[in-house]
Amino acid sequence: MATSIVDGTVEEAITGRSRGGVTLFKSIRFKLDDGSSRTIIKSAVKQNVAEEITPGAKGRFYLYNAFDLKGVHGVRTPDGRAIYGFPGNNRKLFLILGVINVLWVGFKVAVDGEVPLLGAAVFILAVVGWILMGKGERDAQQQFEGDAGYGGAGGV
Amino acid sequence: MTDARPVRDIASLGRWGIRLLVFQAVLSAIALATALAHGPGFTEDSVAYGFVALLQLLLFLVAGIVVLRWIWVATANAQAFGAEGLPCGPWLAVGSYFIPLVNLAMPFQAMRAVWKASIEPRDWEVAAAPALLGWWWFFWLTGNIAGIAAFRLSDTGRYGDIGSVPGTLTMSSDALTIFASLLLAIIVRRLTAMQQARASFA
Repeated sequence: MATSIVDGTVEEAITGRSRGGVTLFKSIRFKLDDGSSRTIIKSAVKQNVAEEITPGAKGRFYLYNAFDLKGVHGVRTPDGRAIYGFPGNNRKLFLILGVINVLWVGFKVAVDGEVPLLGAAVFILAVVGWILMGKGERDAQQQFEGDAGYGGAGGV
Repeated sequence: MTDARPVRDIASLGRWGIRLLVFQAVLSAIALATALAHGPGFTEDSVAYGFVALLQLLLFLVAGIVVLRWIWVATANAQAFGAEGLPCGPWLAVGSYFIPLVNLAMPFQAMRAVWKASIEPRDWEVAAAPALLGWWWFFWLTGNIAGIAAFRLSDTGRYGDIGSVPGTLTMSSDALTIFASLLLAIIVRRLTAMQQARASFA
């Protein structure tokens, strides 16, 4: 699962809706310290991290990409503050989807004696999604914790 | 940060992919012509159609392996060019074709991201992708849906005799496959050229 780091300044942040402690950004454009730009479109950011993503905010931004979700999961500022938050809502949804569908498949097998294709397909999707989202969350946390020296080392 | 990865040679794989995809389009056209020449009942009665359908299946498997390998290399190269945050790494870009429901959208998203990342790796999300990709995906999906529907509806034990519907869907699938294969061949050719140009420039 992909994680990456952006050292730079937020140039533009266009927010969409916020729900369940997660803010969806339509786009975030960073001006990197090397002068280039990087834009992420349609990203999901936990509320505590989203509050740091405002135009002019400078620091080290930690980016994740987990299955069907991407966004910013951490920020370290030049004054040494470290903010981490990973939106795990989709993983819970995959778990609920998996449980519902395993029950549905079991019910259909018991009553009709055959496996419903859609139920089986959604169950496979839920299992794959749950595993990959979990891996994405672990990778994101490891990346953030493994880079703890940024703020204390004097920043950018 | 992403570790530095080597850019892989994609030219030979691309050439084979294009040849196989064009061959697949030609074979689908032959299948369609055979079906039209025979008329209704071609799936049960026509030996010629059965032979062509068998060749189609074999070619689909071979072309599938080559094109999936090409997708793996193209995605790995996009990362090697410096693109970060792609929706899929090389394995998921290939694996997404086999995950139910995910295979309705993610392979297209992965291909579009690789295209964009081959144009502008550092800020790939703002790069433009051509409509060609969307058309390929439209023909690929509709062709597959028509083929699967034809296969399932031909089960008369379950669905009864529904006349010429399975045959019509089979011909539709062949026709749509012609366009899907040719458009993918164009995508493979253009993306291979873009990656080669970037690799030689680097």
